[in-house]
Amino acid sequence: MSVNKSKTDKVKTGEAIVVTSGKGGTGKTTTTASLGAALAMRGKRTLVVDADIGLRNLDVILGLENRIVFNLVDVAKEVCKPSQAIIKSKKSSNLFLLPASQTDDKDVVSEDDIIRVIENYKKEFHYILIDAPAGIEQGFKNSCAAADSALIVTTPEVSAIRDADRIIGLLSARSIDAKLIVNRIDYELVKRGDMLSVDDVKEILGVDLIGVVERDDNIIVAANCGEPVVYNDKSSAGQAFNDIAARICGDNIPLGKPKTSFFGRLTRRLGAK
Amino acid sequence: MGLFKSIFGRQNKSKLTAKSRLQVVLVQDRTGLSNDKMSAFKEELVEIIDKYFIIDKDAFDVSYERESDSTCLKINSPVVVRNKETSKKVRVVSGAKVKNKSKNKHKQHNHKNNQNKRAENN
Repeated sequence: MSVNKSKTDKVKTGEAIVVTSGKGGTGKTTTTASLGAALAMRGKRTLVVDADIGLRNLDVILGLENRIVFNLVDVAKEVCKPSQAIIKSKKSSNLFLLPASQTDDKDVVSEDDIIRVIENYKKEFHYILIDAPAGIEQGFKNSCAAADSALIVTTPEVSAIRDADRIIGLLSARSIDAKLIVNRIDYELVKRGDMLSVDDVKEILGVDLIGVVERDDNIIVAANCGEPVVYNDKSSAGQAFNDIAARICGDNIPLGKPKTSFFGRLTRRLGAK
Repeated sequence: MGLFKSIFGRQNKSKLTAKSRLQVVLVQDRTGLSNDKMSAFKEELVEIIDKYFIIDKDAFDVSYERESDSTCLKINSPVVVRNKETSKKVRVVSGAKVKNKSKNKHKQHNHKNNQNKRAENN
């Protein structure tokens, strides 16, 4: 499903958004890939950047692992031209990947290097999504250096929320506006009182919410195949990421819990939206 | 009675534990004050307030909360204030905004009648 180039809006100057969490494994890479694909489907030229130097994964999630020639470090060190390092995605001519280097460590590039690289790409892309590494060290700092805003991905679990809180503080110190994504919510567990609800997480962290993604096995299948889950009409997570992309573009999609009535769950299971 | 409780009673919702633990640990993380330092801070605050008001030391609480546009150190200090008829318990909640992006200062005053057996002073 490739988007006709004539439907793509003209780029004025791109917005760089860092996707971060603090804690590892909350879904940053999945979110970056999925939102990138969703934005591309909406006609936005989108670059997803893997800033996890030494532990790259965005390429695998997008199914582009065999197409890497140059990477972020090469661009920063001017080993290659910026256009040589970006890889067009399989399904959309609007989605590109700038992979991380796999052999260096995170200190090999500085914040200034990253700013220079990203500012250059802003001329060509509506959105640049930067997949931050876990942690709060140089890799995280680099990811934030050129960011205009941030998406914080947390799960409704104690350690993820605690680390997200720390990240919010660090972003605030850099005056980076942040929005929250609650990932892997399980409404059955919430109902049983065994999982914090979306409202709980929102209340604790005190950051505006931009989306909620349910726990969804389709994400595992999507990763296995290297195809972002947003291409799957039957996936609730895919739908959620599409909604978040719409909100990023300024659409007013209300945040609401999906139907939990028997009929609601039945229609959902039958694949109706 | 036991059956009634088991149908309608919810024992030990783990999420409530999680929420209260998080709220405690996040105050420590946000303020950078260890448990000991936070206790020392509260004790000193209580001493100062105690000089001017009759204070309910058990209900005294300090929290550090974040809203979307600012963060706020909230001091919840129930005090007793005398008026003509009787001593009514007054809760004064004042917030010192750390980042003042919001328009109004955050002050709430609640009046509550209290059957508490607090001794009248002064």
